[in-house]
Parts: sequence; C-alpha cells; structure tokens
Amino acid sequence: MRFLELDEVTKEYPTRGGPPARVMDRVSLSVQEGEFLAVLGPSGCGKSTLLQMAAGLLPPTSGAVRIAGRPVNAPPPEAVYVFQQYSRSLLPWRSVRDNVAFATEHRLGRRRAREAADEPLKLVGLEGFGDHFPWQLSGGMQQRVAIARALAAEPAMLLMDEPFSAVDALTRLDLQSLVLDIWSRRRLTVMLVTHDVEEAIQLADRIIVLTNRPTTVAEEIAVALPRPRDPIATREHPRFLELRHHLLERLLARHAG
Amino acid sequence: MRITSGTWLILGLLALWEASARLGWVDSPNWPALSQVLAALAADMATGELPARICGSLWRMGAGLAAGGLAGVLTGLAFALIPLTARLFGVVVELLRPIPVPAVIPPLVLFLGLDDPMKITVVALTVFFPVLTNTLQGVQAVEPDSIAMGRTFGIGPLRRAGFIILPAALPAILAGFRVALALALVVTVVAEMIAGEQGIGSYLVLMQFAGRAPEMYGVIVLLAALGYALNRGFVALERRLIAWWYAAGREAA
Amino acid sequence: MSLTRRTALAAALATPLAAPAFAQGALTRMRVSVIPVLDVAPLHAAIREGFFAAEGIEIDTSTTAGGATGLPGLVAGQFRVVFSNVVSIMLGVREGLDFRFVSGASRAKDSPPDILALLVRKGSGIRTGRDLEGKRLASNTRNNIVWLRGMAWVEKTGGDWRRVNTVEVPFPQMADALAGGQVDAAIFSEPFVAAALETHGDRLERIGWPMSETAPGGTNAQYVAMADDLARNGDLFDRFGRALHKGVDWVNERQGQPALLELISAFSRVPLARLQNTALPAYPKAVTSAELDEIVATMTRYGLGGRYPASASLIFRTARG
Repeated sequence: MRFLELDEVTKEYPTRGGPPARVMDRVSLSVQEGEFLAVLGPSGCGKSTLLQMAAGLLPPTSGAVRIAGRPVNAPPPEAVYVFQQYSRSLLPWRSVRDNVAFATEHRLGRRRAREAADEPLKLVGLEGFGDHFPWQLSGGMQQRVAIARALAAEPAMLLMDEPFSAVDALTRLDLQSLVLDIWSRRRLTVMLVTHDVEEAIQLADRIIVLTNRPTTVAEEIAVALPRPRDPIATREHPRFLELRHHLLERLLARHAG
Repeated sequence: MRITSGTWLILGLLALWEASARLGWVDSPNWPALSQVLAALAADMATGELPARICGSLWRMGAGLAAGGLAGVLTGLAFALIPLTARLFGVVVELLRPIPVPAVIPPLVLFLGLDDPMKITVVALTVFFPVLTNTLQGVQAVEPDSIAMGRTFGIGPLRRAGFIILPAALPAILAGFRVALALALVVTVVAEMIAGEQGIGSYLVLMQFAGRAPEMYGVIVLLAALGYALNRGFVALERRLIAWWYAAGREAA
Repeated sequence: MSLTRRTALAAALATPLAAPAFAQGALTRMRVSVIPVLDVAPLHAAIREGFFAAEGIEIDTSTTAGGATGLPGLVAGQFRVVFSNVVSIMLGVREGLDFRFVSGASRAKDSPPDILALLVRKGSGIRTGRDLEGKRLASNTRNNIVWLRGMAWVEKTGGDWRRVNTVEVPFPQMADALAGGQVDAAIFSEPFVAAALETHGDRLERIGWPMSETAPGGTNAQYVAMADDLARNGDLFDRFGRALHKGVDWVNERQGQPALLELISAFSRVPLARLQNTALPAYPKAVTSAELDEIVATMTRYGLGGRYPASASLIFRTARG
C-alpha cells in the first residue's frame, strides 16, 4: 500500500524582476507502507526541499502530496521530520529528557510526556542521560536524542534529512545500524535523503536518484540485498559493489556534466 | 574577596575627592569632602526619609521597567512573527525612537498629569525601545530548524512562540533589559525632578535649592551605588535564567 | 464610600460656614504647585497649623524646580493653585490665559535688606549698571521678576539694560559661576544671597538691592487659580484664602522669632544657621491694582509690553484687601 505519495510536485521560487525559478519539476514518487526509501542526489539538488514538502513544512507550487491517502497541507501526525543539524533542532535550555518530552507534552501534559520519554531514550541507547543537557553530549549522542524525540511522537513514518552527515565516519555506521534496528522493530516507513551512496545502499529497500536543478527523478533502483544487513558483510556483498559502482558512475557523470 | 585593580582605582578616586575638598584644591562650598557627604547620607538614611524615597523611586522604576519591557517583548514578537504588524507599525516606531525622552515629557504631562502615571510612562517609553530592538533581533536569529521542529510535532503557533522562540531569544531580550535598566534609573530620577514631592529626584531638587551640597552629593553617590547594585543583581539573575546559554557557549568554545 | 462622599458634599453645600465640621469628614484635596523658597512660608504654616484642615481642605504641595511646570500645569488642570512670580503670571495673562490672583504671596520690603541682591566679584570694579554694560549678568530665568528688577536696577544706576548680556544660571549654581568668572555679576534671591556670602564671602560682595532700590515695597509673587474654577468653586477658594491668610498672620506675628525660621527650615531644608542671616520678604494677603499696574508699566518699559486686561479684573475676591 502506498503510504506517501508525491504526484507531479513542482516548486518554484519568485525571483526579482524575472520569471520564477523552477527548482523542482514534476517529481512523482511514492513510499510503500513499511518501506525504507533512500533519495540520492548530489549536494544542492533540492533533496531537502523535496523532503520538506513531503513533511508538510513547505507547500509545493503545484502537484499534490498525500500521506495515508489524505492530502498534506500541514505537518501530518503520521510523519516526523528528522533534521540534519541536530544542534539547531535540539533546545539547549532543556535537558535530554525534556527535549524528548517536547514532542508530546502539548498533547500529554508535561508529566506524562516526561515519563513517556524514557522508552525512546532507552531505544536509542541513552538510558541514564536524561538529565544531561544536549551541549554536554557528543554529536552522535545528540543525533540519538533527536531520533528519540521523533520516536516519542510515535509516528508511522520518519522523514530523515541527511541525519548522519554531521558526524564522524564510525559514529555514522553506528547510527545507521541504530536506525535500521528501530525501523525493523517499530515497523516504520522511512524516507531518507542522502548524498552518500554507501549509506543509501546499506539502508534502503529502494533508491531514487535525482537530477540536478530543476530536480527530476533520474532513476529508480531496487536494492535487493538480504536483511538483516551487517554493516561490514553487506559492504562486501557483490550486489552492494555493483550498485555502488553504478550509482557513483551516475552521480560523477552528472556532476561532471 | 580579592581586591582587584578596579577597586583600587575607585578607592584612589574617592581619596582624591576627599583630599581635593579638604586641602582646598577645589575651593567651593558646592564641593564638600567625601566624609561630609557620607555623613549627610547616613543621617538622612537614619531618619528613614531616604529609604522611603528610594523605595518609591525603585517602585516607579520597576513599574516602568515591567510595563515598557512587556510592551517591548510583545511588540518585538509581533513584529518578528506577524509581518503585517511590522508593516503597519514599524514606521511609527522608527519615527518615535529617535525622539529624546525629555522632549516627550511636556505632552505626557498634559495627558497624564504630574503623578506616577506620567513618571512610569516616561520610564516605560525609555525601556520600550532597547527591549523591542533586542527582542526583534533575538527572534529573527532563532534557528528556522527549531521552529520547523515544533511544526513537525504539530505544536501550534502560540506554543511555538512561548516554548521555542521566546526561550531562544531570551539571551538577546535580557541583554536589552540590561541596557534598559541603566537608563530606567536615570530617567526615573529625571522624571521625579520635574514635579512632585516623591522619590530621589525630588530630594535632589530640594537639596539643591536648600544649598545643601553634602546631601546632594550623598544622593548622587547613592545613585551610583544603586545603579551598580542593580546591574550586579541583574547579571546574577541573568546567569540563573539563561544558565544554559553561558554553559553551552563555554562547551562549544 | 460614595455615600460618605455624597454626605460630605451635601454638608459642604448646606453649611459653608460650619468650617470645623469638615475636620471630621472627608477633606477636599487641593494640589498646589510651589517652589521651595522662603515666599511660601505662610502656606506651609497654614498646613502645619491645621488652618486648611479646619476649612475642610487638604493641601497637596507639588514642588517644581524653578516653577517651570507650575503655570502650564495650572492650565492643564494638574493644579488648583499655583505659586508663581508676577511677571510669569502677567505674561500668561497677556497670552490670553485666564489666571486670577487668589492671594498675594511676597513683596519687597520698603528698604534694604530685601530678598534680591546683586553680587559681583571683589575687586572687579563693578559698582553700577553702567559698569555692567557689555558684561554678563546672571539671572535664574529671563523674563521673570528677578530679571525685571535687575534690568530696572541697571537703568536706575546709569546703565543701558539692552547692553547687558543676561545669562540664565539656576540659583544653586550662581555662586560658583560668579566666583569662577563665568559671569561678571549675578542677581541672587534669598536664601542664596546668604549662602553665597557665607561660603564665598571672601571673594563676592553685594553692590545692590534690585527690589527695594527700584520699587520699594514692590510686588514679587502671588498665588493664582483659573477663572472658570473660581467661578464654579468660589466657596472652596474662599476657604482656601481664609486658611492661607491665617498662615500669613501666623508668619507675620513671628517675624524675627526662631519659630518662623524653624518652619522655613523644615519645608525648605535650608540649614537654620544660614536662615539667621537671610532677609525675608514681606508677606501680603492682598493683590492690588496699583502694584499690578506698576508691574505692567515696568514690563512694558523693558520690552515685555502688550495688551494687558484691566488689573482689577484679574483679582479674585480673596485677594482684595
């Protein structure tokens, strides 16, 4: 079943004096319920714009976005956006627990929201860090807090905007495993935007490759690698190497062109 | 407490004051020695007159600070978050801002009289602009991501303003209040000098007319100390209210 | 609350002469603008001695530095009564403001010492108005009674008042400005005369009495109210006048006695020792057409002429002798 659908979505921005600049041109894609979709594209190709429109944070100029069959005009309760820059989206005046509780306290009240924060914190391996402040934690741990906060809202879908790009390589592998683990345990639907070819292959069921601006869909590939995916073994799998070769060639050619 | 070089400088200047009057370097009855000034100050403190006047002045200052500060924060929030309000009232505010407060006192006297409403309004006007400017800048500097974060969790605009934007802008707002605090004390005293029998300002005028220089300087010394204490108190409050800001800044550095 | 007020009002209307009754009930508050100077001694005496309370009035004094907000505040309705110097009052009258005199306040005595004195630096050689030509003369304000009497003194002692440069210096700063050479002469009002001679006596000397030498017994300051207020609340102002004039009697009966100086020291904060050497004005109850005519004539002579209404029409019944 299609959980998220983008139908001929176009985005234009007004320019001073000239015709509007079209940054995205009739992009159509869909994410199946329970699917892990990676959207791959070079930097600056409008991946984040696409994701923000899917999340209801940015209205498309034309075209439609639907989640669970309903049109999206505002952020839908089913999907939560996970930001690339954890340092900007975490609230530095709140403790880790209160940051996680922030996702739900407007609905549950402060006390119940704080109690409910323990479970997602445990899920991301931050048990016992509830009373720390974000700025006392490493970058990887901060991104775990952001993920825990997203999970606290109990969404059916996560929209992840290059969530591992701001941490070091080892931490990134760690967080990728964490997200895969949560995805399978919680039976989530995920749409993840990245410029990292290996990350896309490692995580996704299906990869959509975008072109440069104005952004269109260039290609759609089924990953077809077995799960569970071990972070080391998967990277040595012939299918992984084949896909990596293909995708890097595409991105580099496009980059050069 | 360690005596810093700044403390030594102040002690040195005070000693110079005492000597200049005692040794006749400045030969005027309107330049009393520090010891005379402190004695006069102590005497009027002991009678309870000055403490009562100080309380009155602080009350007027506090009321003006609260009213002007609240208006400044709310206007700043409105200007930053509701573009229409900035378009409607922005020009009015920019036109009013450069007018020196003493220049608006006569019309204020006409509409509000000579009592507390006028004096508090004068203080509130003084406080309003620095708080407004800083609130506006603080709100505009709030990370768009943190506001979008609130939206993705379905948090409404009022709650976003109160729980994301306001705390994030608080360091800037408090910096505005610190500037306003120093101005507020000065303006309170000036307003009290215009008319009425209350407060430190009126005492200053009375002593000037009575030719009592020690009492006059006593109050000036008192105002300096009061201003210093208020600022120190405010900084302490600030360190409590936005402890995270100081701490986060240190960790990041 | 409203019942008591209404009762008090009814009592006030029914028995205007049963003054002591008011002492028990609600008092009518009257805000009076004053300057912290010797001239307002009778007002403070009447407050302290309970003369106003006996007339059912509570006086709320508001001190304004130099009287700057007094008359404008009267027009704006901030004050019921304002103490001011006669020149400022008459200039307001000339501009069409409906001020009415409700009582005299102070005038010069017939011979020195009087409440204004002209001081110069010792050894400056300045003796007369002629010597002041081209020099800087300090007055607390331009176009008030101090300035007017000063100009009259310059002319009387052979000088051309137009050639004297008037500099505005507040009384508290005059002694330093004169001793320091920023001005060449200054017209002081008491108690600043006494203060200046007490503290700068080695360097300053008095060369003239601008009031008693140019207009012996001439008027200085009065209490005024607005004409429409007087028309509507004549009874209240009758009571005000009666109480104030009891204060005048109180003060005049104690001329030269410690009790008077203690009263003045209490409201003005001027040290008692200095008041011993201070010249006091005469405290009249009335305002006369003759003295107003004299002022208008003098003002006209020194460039403050214009269309002034008949003096008699400006004097409310409480100020008629």
